[in-house]
Amino acid sequence: MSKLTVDLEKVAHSVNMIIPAMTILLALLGYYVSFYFHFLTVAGLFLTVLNMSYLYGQKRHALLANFGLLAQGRYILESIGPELRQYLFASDTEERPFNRVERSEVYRKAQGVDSSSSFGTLLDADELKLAHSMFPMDKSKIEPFSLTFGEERGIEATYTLNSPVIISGMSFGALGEKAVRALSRGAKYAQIPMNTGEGGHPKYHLMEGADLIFQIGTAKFGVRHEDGTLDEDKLRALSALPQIKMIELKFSQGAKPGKGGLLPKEKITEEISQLRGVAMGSDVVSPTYHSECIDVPSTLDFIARLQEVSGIPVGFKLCIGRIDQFRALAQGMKERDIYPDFITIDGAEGGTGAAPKSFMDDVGMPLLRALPIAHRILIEEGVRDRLKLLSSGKLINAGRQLKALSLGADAICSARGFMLAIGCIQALQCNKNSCPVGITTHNPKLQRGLDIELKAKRVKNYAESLLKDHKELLAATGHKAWRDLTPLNLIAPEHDQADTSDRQEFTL
Amino acid sequence: MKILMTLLMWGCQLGVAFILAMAGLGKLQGSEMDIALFTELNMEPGGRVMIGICELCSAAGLLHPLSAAYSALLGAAVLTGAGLAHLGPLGAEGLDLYLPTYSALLLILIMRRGELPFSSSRAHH
Repeated sequence: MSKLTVDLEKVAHSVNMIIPAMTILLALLGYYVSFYFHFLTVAGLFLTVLNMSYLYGQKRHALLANFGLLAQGRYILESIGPELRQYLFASDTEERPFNRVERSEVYRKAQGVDSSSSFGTLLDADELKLAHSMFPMDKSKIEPFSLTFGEERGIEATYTLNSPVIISGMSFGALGEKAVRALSRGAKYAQIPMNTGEGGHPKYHLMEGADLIFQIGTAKFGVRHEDGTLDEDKLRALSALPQIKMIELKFSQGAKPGKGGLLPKEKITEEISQLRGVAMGSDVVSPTYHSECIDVPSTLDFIARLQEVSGIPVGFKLCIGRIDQFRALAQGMKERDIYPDFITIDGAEGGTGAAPKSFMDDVGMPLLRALPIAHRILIEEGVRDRLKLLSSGKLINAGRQLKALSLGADAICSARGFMLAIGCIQALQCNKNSCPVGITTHNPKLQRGLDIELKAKRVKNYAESLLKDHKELLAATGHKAWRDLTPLNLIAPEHDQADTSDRQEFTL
Repeated sequence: MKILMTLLMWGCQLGVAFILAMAGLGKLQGSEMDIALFTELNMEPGGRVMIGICELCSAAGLLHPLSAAYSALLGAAVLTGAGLAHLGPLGAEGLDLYLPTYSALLLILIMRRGELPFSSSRAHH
């Protein structure tokens, strides 16, 4: 007895013969038995013509040219593969960048339903963990969070953050109008600030009344001369708006460090082209660097210029690449007595609307490595107390956020956490203008289902739930203030569980 | 150029919708010619009514951008069937508008192919 196997090549060739043969048979039945058979003849004719066009009328796809119609099965399955994997085949902990467990936690928090789990963790035990104290803090004794930017320089227009979480930079362009408004309104409800992203004049961010951090990217959308240099008048006018509380100069972001922002042409509407001052019909690729910043002195001069022109706290965001350059920058701050009001360290695992895959996958330092290095260098160079340190990069739950705070961050920025809160299903189509839940698209048909008020409340729920979890975890670590967290509050993954010595420092 | 193509597409849609609507109404109202044709095909009255409904649906659908591509596909299917009928028992008479209508439907399908679910836009992501 021979084994039964499926030879797809033979199946495809058989199908290629059966389709026209069946069509001829149906046509004969239609003419000699009943004309009703011609309903099927018509379908057979269409399939025959289509199959012939694949086999003999095109050369772009070898698979179609060799196997015809049946080969489309591969493309069809491939195109719905992400959905099939997400719905059916991927386990709760294996999806990327966020697995189902992580996403579900955000959804539950945003919807205000119980996010507790049962029976034990689904994660590996050998991961970076928070170290609890034998003597937890009474939650009622936890001090309210407060972080004031600009106080080190003694400026008038300081900005005080009352929650450790900030909505990270997301521009109108990367996001659609409704998503920006939902996030911004939610930020107002939750009393947290939102970063505008590098999308030019933040028309929709301003609309909802939230405190804003205006981001200046390398293209300086919204505050640029035609030649791409800084237009001080425009910056002065924007900074004078009461909602603009701080300025963030973006040097690089974790998803594409060393490369400028990218807005695919599919997402450039007439309004976006006006707000950014760019043409429609082609991708907008921002320069890789600020033309004003070519070395440490010029970079610091530019920061000082922004501080002087704006009159509000000014910081910068970067993903750390070369550690020696970051140290040189810190040394330069001390030498020239110019300090940014904050630095945002973005991990290489950070998200984006669009970036080349090689940059997303292979460039930049991950957050949990970069953050302690930056923190340590700033201390070693004697500048840590002159600025605040923010961090971002997959910080969507309180546990990971507290780990970042333990590694030196003063506050947390999250973009994708809040995207999930307003209904992101991780369809991974942010760069295609086809986001099925209407967040990263400008297609009105897809934005139709996004209810701004409902989603704004979810932003508020999520932010408040994070803060509640922060307090619970903080109490577990035995501290009463976020600033008390140190690397001693972490259990490094490589730490030998059998090691009974008292050394428990997080190793770099 | 884009405006011209859009005008051409909508011109085709309106023209074909009119022709299909007239043909469909004729069949549903039971015009003598249609009854004679479908009697010849042994499809009277069921086939006549069915094809008439298909033609009217196709005509109506061509008037809306959301349904135009699907309606063009339906219209092309009906016209292919009509072609088979005229290749067989009915003979080649009465086909004055056949080729222009079929060509217009194919043009609409080509221009709106991206709206059909099996477009190539999502492949290989």
